[in-house]
Amino acid sequence: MSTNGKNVIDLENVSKVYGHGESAVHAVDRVSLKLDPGKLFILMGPSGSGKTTLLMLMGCLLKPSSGSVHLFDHEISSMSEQELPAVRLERIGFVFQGFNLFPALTAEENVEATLNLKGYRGEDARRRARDLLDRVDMGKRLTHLPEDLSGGEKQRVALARALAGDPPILLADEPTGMLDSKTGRKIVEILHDLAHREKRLVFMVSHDTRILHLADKTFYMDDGRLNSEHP
Amino acid sequence: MVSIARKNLFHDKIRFFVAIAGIQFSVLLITIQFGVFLRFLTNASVLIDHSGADLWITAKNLQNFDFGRPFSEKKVYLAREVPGVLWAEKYLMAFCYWKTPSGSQESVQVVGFNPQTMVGAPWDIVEGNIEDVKKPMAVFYDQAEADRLGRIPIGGETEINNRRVRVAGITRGAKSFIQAAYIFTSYKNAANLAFFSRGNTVYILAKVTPGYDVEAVKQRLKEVVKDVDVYTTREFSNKTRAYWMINTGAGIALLSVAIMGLFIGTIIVGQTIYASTTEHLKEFGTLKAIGASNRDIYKIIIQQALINSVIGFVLGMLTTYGVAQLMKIGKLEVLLTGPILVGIFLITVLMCLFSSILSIYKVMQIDPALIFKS
Ligand SMILES: Nc1ncnc2c1ncn2[C@@H]1O[C@H](COP(=O)(O)OP(=O)(O)OP(=O)(O)O)[C@@H](O)[C@H]1O
Ligand SMILES: [Mg+2]
Repeated sequence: MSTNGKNVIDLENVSKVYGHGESAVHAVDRVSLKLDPGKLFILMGPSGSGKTTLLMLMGCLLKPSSGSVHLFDHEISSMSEQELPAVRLERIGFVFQGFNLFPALTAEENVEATLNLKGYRGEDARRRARDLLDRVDMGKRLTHLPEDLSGGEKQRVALARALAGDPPILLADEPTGMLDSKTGRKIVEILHDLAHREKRLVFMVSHDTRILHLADKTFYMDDGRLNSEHP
Repeated sequence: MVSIARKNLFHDKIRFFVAIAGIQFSVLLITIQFGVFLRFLTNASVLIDHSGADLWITAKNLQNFDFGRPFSEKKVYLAREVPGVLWAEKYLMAFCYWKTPSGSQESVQVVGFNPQTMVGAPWDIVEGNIEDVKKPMAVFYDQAEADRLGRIPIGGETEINNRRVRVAGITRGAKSFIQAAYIFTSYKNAANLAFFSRGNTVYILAKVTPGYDVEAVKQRLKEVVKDVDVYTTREFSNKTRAYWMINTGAGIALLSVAIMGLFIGTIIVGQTIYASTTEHLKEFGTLKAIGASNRDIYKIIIQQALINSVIGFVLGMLTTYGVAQLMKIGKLEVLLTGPILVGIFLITVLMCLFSSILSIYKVMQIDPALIFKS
């Protein structure tokens, strides 16, 4: 994943408006931001301030109402709905507050199925799935179904899944929201490692001020506006 | 490859069983109704189809085989003169009463054919020698109706229309759609039993000489043998089938139950697949976020539909087999051929695919924000 020190994510004057007229919500309001790899970014802000919407814009799940979103050298807003999945498939790993594991699949299968989607087949996919689970210390829980795992363990499996296919960008929306502070801290430490040791771009939304010292940069959001300083 | 479709399907065990039971039930309904329909259809024209003739000459404006009317037998000689007619034979069919050993009367259809040429003779003899119909008042009956006729053995005697007859043999496969048993005998015997006026026949069966065009010979016969209708065997068979199936509503009744089965199946399967999709919506959304294309996701839904249809079809067929055996005891037979089973399998697959349309629509509408809600 050669990035030549360029900005991996580049937002220029991006806005997202939900609805029309009277009921229109300016969820993201003229946000500009450049993010480079090898760092952990943390986004904070009150509920409803537009954090998830911003994450979806970066993650090519939403197109902006105005402004431009660049991922590497792709301009997202000019892409068709058919092209966006391929960008996500190759470049982005998502981590969710509610884990979003596939409940019918074991830990190993959760990762393997994702690798399958990304073009890895058979024994190769299985081996890679085990390696990824090993990396998050879940090598001993391969055949467990999500319902038989603790919250922290689920999030580790989800992390392994997000790393499937080796995406340069990891986007996490409150990944510690459903975990106790000790378990949550462990997850953030892994994310920090992934940024620093493996030179990925990790962008995470969090409410937890106790982990801020791990961030390379912290952003604050309020009513759709983004600030680099605490408001 | 990890099959998300299969894993999801088998994970929801109860829902899976409901869907399978729904498909199984509708396969059963469709197959049995269709099988009975086909059995009736085949029965309706069984004598025509086994006649060995190419052309049927009948009185004008007949509705079907069973309602034949007499016309002059002299027309046989006219028919034989037409170029391209290899042979032409008289053939008689008349409703009579058969006396059972208990003394009751059963309605039967007495069929008379020429025992010298055997044109229109029974084609599957279980017992007896068909040559025996040349003897006075010797008759064959079909084993399908043996119980109703009183299981009179070969050599046993009874009465048809109060005249003594002797059972000379038993046939197979000649079951009438209208439930009046077929009794086979010589033309002469049949005419006697039915008090049939001399000099008449009910049908003339004709064979076309190889090398002649059946349609052309049919036209010729129409012109030469006047005041009659001429049908190819296929036409007369279809006319008779259409009469019993459509005009009487019997076929429509059977088919409408089959179609109802299809509807019930589609609704049950559609409802379970839809409920399952709704429950797994967040997973589908997550798959999309990971980078699955819409096609990847439709593939999962369609794969689920296919798994459902294969398992449901196999179980449905096993149940159908059991029910068909029970029905046989009750004297109601179903007719199912390979191509029809393939057809029903395809209908099952289509039903399951159709049931998935709503689910695919639902997945198309997923709001990506859904996956970020905890
Ligand atoms: N699909 C939508 N349609 C209309 N309004 C929406 C939609 N999604 C989000 N919003 C609105 O946009 C605003 C920003 O929502 P968003 O989910 O981005 O906030 P958030 O900062 O992630 O909040 P939280 O901390 O509660 O997760 C909110 O006012 C929300 O109600
Ligand atoms: Mg949010």
